[in-house]
Amino acid sequence: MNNRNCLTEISLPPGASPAPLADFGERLPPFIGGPEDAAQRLASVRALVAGSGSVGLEVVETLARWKVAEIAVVDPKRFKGESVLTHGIPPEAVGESKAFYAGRLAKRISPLTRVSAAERGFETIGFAELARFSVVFLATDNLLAELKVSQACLSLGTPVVQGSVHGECLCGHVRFFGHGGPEAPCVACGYTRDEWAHLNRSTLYSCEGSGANTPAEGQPTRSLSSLCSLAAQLASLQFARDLLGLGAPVRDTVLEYCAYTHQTVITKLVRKPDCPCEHQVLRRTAAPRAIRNCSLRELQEAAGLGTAVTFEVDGGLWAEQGRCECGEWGALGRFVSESDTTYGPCQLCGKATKGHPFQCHRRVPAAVTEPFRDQQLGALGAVDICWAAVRSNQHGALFLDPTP
Amino acid sequence: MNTQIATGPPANFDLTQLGKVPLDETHTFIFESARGACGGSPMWRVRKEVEARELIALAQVSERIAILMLDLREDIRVQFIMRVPVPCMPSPDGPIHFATAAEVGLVYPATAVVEPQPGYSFACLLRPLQAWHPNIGPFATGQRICLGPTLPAGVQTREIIFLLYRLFALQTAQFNSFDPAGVMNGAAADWWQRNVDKIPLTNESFLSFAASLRATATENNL
Repeated sequence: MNNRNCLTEISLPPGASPAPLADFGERLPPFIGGPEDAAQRLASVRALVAGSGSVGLEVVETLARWKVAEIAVVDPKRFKGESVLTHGIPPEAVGESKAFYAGRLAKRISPLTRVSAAERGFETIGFAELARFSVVFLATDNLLAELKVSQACLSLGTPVVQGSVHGECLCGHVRFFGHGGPEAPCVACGYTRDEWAHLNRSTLYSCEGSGANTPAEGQPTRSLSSLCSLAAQLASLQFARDLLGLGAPVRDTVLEYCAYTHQTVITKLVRKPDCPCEHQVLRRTAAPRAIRNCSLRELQEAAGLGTAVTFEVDGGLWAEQGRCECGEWGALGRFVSESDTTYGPCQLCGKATKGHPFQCHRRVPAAVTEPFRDQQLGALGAVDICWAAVRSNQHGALFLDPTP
Repeated sequence: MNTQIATGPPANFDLTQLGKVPLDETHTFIFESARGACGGSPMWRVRKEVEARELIALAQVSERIAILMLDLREDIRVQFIMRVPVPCMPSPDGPIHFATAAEVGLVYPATAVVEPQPGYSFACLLRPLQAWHPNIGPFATGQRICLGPTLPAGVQTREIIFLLYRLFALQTAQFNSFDPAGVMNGAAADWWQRNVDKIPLTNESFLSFAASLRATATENNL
């Protein structure tokens, strides 16, 4: 969650008219018990769709038909021949990026919607970038991606709507995580021992130093395409019900539909008391000025969380000490980027000092930064940043610059 | 001569009892000092305290490791000395020599509880500086130690300690430089492939150190 602006905005093909063919209101019914401003509410939605396969692609298409404000699609994969069997795509799409295909489709359906895509995994979306979305639709195929989406969205308080299928049972599921606070459930709250084991098995990390991970090739989705479409439409409807306040609340529920019996079951999702994941929703707080021009003390005071806090900044590590090739340690006390921790010459031999992994903190306790607490973040090396977070044991505050 | 003999584990000791080992005064002080500043979410704090206590108990009963610093404010951050031979090659032309101990910095972040982590992300060799080991990276990147392609979510710190011991002693090591799962020093991997007669560096088990100390002390008294 550190690279920024990885989404590529999609524009209409040359010569295509940006004028929509029809106004969404022409087919929007007056929902029983619904709000008068339903069209405006739908039009204000900013949605990120993680996974643009047989379920996610349908979600993207539906959102485009609702003419929402923004759709972003992330998926690292490309269509294969077998994809035609379950995805709503023509054979010509085989070989194309799933994310960009979905993005171009959405843009054609709703030219006024801001559409962007990334042929990457969800974890490449920057935290500040993610913060601008009002909902995330989750339709990925591995538990680690699920977990990362859930963790990031929970800390931002962004709802997650997950659509999935179990082909053999003809079952479609929609899990709606409201992420309304620390007592709200996360994806991992429902994980069984087997699922944790699967999470560990299905991931391959390279030792080559980038920290990137490549999910191992998993089982393909075995399902009738109708079931995938149904799960996507149920997910979209659950979201619409929540947005428009239609019927009973759907937040923190799982909806299961079985086509064998045509029965629907709705179950409450609850937080597991001993869930190992962090359940802290960061309160969005205004910084006194551009974050790089604030000091850590100013952020700490603006957060109002006391003195026993930690700091985290966009893509930066706090390097407490560095080490030179000669072996000499030296105090650094500054932020360094993850990709380049080089800083300054060694006092003993003059060669470059590097932030040492053992002395670098992603979340740095306030006490470690005490001598530097009144210096501006920019002066401490955090120049190109969009966000900073201050956390106590119970609460957290997120500072976002207005234009990431 | 005043010989201090460690409070060793009982005869039927196994690792499941590690959390119940009574800590001596020195180790209690280390634990309580770190616990006093332990931060993070309630679940993470509980986890850190359990991990830290087990780690300290392991240091006490094994005497294989001596904890220099333990910080629980955010991550589990521990600096320790492990008594184990460490192969070193200060000059590329050799000769190889063996340090008698490794000073290690280990960082266990909260994310490691729920997400599998790359094997190189936990530990760095702080000293000696010229390690000659296939799974220890160059000094320029902090002598990161690779314990395998990935370690499972929720791996315990004591397991990491055992992995480190077996790695240093070359009881388990990955030499195939065409396999990206672990080789951090291709030249050392190649060298050790040509010198397999030298491995393992020791056949001792991690927990046998305290027992051998006690045996030595008993012999001296005799």
